[in-house]
Amino acid sequence: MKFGRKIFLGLVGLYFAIPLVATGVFSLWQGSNRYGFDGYTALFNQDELWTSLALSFELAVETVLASLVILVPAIFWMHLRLPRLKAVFDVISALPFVIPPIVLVAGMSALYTGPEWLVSTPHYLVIPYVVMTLPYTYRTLDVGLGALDIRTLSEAAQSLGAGWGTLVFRVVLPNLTTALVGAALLTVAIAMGEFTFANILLFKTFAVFIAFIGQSYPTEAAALTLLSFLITWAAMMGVLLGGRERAEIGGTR
Amino acid sequence: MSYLAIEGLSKHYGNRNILSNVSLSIGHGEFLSLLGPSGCGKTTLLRIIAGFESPDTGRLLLDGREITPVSAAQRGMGMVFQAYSLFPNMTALDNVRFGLRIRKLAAKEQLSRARDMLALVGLADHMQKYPSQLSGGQQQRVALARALAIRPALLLLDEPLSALDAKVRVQLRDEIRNIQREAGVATIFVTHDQEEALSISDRVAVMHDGSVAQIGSPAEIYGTPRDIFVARFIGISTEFDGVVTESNTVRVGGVTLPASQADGLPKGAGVRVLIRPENVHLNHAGSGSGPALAGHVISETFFGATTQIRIELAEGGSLIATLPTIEAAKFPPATPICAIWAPEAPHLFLKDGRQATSVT
Amino acid sequence: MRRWRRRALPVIFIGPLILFVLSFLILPAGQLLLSAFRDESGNFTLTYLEGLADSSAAFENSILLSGASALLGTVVGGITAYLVCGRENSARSFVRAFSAVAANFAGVPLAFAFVATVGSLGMITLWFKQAGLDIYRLGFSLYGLPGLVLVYAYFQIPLMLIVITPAVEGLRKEWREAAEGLGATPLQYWRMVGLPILMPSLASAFVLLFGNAFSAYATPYALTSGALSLVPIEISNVLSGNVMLAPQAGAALALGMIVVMGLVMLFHQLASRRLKRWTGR
Ligand SMILES: Nc1ncnc2c1ncn2[C@@H]1O[C@H](COP(=O)(O)OP(=O)(O)OP(=O)(O)O)[C@@H](O)[C@H]1O
Ligand SMILES: [Mg+2]
Repeated sequence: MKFGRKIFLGLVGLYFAIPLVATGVFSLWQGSNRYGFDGYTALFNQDELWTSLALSFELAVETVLASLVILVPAIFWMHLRLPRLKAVFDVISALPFVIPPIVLVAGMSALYTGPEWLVSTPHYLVIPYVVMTLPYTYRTLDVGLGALDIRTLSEAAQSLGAGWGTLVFRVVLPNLTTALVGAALLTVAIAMGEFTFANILLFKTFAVFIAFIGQSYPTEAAALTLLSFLITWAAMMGVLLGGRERAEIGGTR
Repeated sequence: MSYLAIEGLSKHYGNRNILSNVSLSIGHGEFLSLLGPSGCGKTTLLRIIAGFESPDTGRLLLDGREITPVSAAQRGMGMVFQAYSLFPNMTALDNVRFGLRIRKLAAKEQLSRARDMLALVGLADHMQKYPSQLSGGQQQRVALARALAIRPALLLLDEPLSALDAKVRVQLRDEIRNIQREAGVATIFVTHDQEEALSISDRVAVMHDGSVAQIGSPAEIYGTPRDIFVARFIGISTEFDGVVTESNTVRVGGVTLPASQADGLPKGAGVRVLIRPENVHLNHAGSGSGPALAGHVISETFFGATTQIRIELAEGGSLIATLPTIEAAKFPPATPICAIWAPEAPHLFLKDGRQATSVT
Repeated sequence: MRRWRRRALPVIFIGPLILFVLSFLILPAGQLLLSAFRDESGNFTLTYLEGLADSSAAFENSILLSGASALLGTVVGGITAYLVCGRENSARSFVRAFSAVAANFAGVPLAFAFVATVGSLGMITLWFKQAGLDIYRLGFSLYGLPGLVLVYAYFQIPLMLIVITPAVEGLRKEWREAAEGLGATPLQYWRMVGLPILMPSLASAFVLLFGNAFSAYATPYALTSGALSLVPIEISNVLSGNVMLAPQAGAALALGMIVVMGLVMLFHQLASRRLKRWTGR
């Protein structure tokens, strides 16, 4: 029994380790028996790597900001005045699961063909990214604000003569930092790796760049794969260390 | 005529000895309580008896047959845990039936026996409920019925009442005792509540740091504690430092008081004197004759039939006395009093904790 | 003034979210619904929905792939969760951290990791070849359904670990011991107590994994470049004009996908309701 357990866990461990190791070896391969860092040098010399990475990061940050601007007031108000609305919000937050990215992109491109200034810039992607990350942002903020007991806090603040501004900026937001950071990191992780929308709407984000590289430069693609694994690892460590018991799943499949 | 015999049981976790050389025996149909403070190894001992843990040394004999190497599943003991042990996916009836299904009894027999058991614990009306629909007390009744349904060789209860509120607790403990008598099954009951142990057991084993400090009837445990740990753990008492003066007196502070247990101790030996509050007699100051502890009443606590009186002694320290309430009315707070006791009342313990008479 | 504020405040706070969800989630989905039932000239038609029959292969493949990978994930992830939980803390937090990463490490990079490993020129493939074993000759292909199942397991197993761990940790020691004390063998315990208790959680985890695989797009796209017929791939083919299909056919496919995902969500809800009855919460 003990032996069986070790064998099983060993096999599972191998399954998860081998692709990473093999990718690492592959990224160092320079044909026949030569190994070296050529792949990495070539990769880092590609301007497009840096522009796509910068674009994805920019989009990620914009997504974080847009999500917070849209969601924080709504969830705040729900906890403060309209707890009944929670059922509605719960359903809304489950919708992006029922309407997956590939379906949403189909619907959006059928519905919105303009205006040109919006749909032709990569920043258009922020909209679907906000939708995609909505369930995770919503849950994080809902839990965070729920733990704060906004109602009591606001009554206490008002009985002390504090106005709305004071309440929001001096009490609620500081107490919400952990939740906000967690939600932001998760959003960044998802937005950085997002592929579906960018690929179909033809914008060259980081993930699309990886796909492009992979078609012609396998060694560089392997190096890039490892790099992206490290980015995911860093983001998830941030989420886990930020006090979230469970890191949610929202990446591009 | 011991039914279960435990011989020289020891157990350690890491480098800590949890049980050291425990020996015990239980007679047919006997109700034995394991009583002791938290962490003294009661649960560990019970789990070894049930077969969930194996001892480092020692052996268990059930009806003369060694069961030490037998697995828990084969021992056929009925175990009731502290709480949350019912299978949440089964109704009360199915929970009780579980052991019978494992034993492959005929379906009819399973059902009728399970129904009887549930009726026995007073849950005939709740057979189809899931554990989450039952109260804590009801859940423990089902657990008891489940353990009894397999007609266990031994019933093992590990603080089955500790998660319940006080009233249900008292009610259920009496029921457990009645059911146990009816079923005639030898029972080991773990608790750290002394009232519980003293009130329902045939015998009580007081455990201390992984060994049995004393085993005996509730009256013995209370009346003649074998060491200072048992005396302190069971009931309340007032403690003094004393010195043996004559063959049957001790000097406490400046007063020489009778103590028959001093008999046989060398003169000048230092002892701990423990006196139970109900053994303290009070007189108004100056009214009594002979040596007595002088002091005055500082507070009273009303318990209904009895009243507890706290006394501040003239030479420092305090003393607790319990009197019938009618008596106590004679000693309102601030009354100067003198306190005496009968020669056999105080328990004397040597500095190492052993009881004085155990030396002679 | 006060009344104005009472009316305006909710709109200011909640309005943006509602408006956003309406415009970019509900309306696009509604648009798909409409266009799936409308022909070129705007008349009601069932042609496109009936046309879904032609894409039955895509649905079949998708369901097969999702089912197989979800089953694999449920079984392997479930057993792993059971074996890991209750162990030393360091091992557990490593597994927890790694599953968080691996569950999110999907899409294009994951596909490439497997290409570099067991692709036709992958490291393992080449090593085997040097040892005289050509796995592609033996019928293995990373770019077919079995290969995709192998790749999907990389995010399905960790996802399973994450969602099932609380349920596995919720299995009380008392239940196992009570069963054992009543004479049950470990097998009987699992058959009569452990698995039945876990069943709702396992079922809802399975459908979650199923939906997770069903909506996956980046991974199969990167692996097969759109050659393997899966529902998300077909939709994207229509969108990028790679196939000669009307946009309405794409809408019909997308509608089919919404239905499947809706069912997944429904099962998920039902399973968790069952769980609530037991836990009494
Ligand atoms: N599996 C274990 N590993 C290590 N130490 C243990 C283990 N089980 C129990 N102990 C230790 O053994 C000691 C005795 O534990 P046990 O549960 O028998 O106490 P107890 O008398 O039942 O206490 P309580 O009244 O609190 O239930 C405790 O100090 C406990 O920390
Ligand atoms: Mg205990």
